[in-house]
Amino acid sequence: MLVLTRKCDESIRIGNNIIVKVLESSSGHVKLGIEAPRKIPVHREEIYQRIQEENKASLVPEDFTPDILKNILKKG
Amino acid sequence: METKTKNKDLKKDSTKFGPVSNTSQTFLFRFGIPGFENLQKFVFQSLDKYPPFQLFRSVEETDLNMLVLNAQYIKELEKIEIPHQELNKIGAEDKNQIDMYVILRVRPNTKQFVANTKAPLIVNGAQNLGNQIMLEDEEGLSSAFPLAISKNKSVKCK
Repeated sequence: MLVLTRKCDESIRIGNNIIVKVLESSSGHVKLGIEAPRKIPVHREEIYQRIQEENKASLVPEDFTPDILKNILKKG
Repeated sequence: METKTKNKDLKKDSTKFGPVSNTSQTFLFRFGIPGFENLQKFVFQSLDKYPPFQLFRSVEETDLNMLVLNAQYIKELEKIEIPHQELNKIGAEDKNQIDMYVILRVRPNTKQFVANTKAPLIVNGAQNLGNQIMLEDEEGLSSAFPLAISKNKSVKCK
């Protein structure tokens, strides 16, 4: 992993068009500003990982039978 | 373009829902979806006997099937604001130009269906583009909303 030291208001550039700027740093928190093309997805890592896990857990299992949906609808 | 996933989590030979119809409208998810970033082409397939549930299926990996529900059935998603940049990514200007779906899963042990209202799928039918968005800052949403059915048979989140 590349490690860089930056102060407030200093930036790093990734590729030609992504800039990550340190806006604020206090009490163990760092506020970052990110400039990136709209088409580039930017996410908090822990949230992205959680959705990865949720999506994998949402695959229809091999033993799934659509009739279970009928049972759910009947509960109304 | 890579046409076969290398993801080991996918199960093999799950063809119970039949082949993905060539006539279905295919949506391009440019970055895939989290967990399946190498898959980009998806279709929605109606489960004829079980409306309003639908399948979200990969065209490139037929073992990837997810149950989804149009967000119009989810009260908590009726008034949420979709960030403009997320609409732009699929070529839309406002919410009326898109359809939104929530992914369902069965909770282990309880067999209860829950909906991930925090990370819905949005698609622009006019441009065949889609994306999974993350609504982390919206209140009242959950990654595991229990599904309930109202008396008029419409599906609602509790």
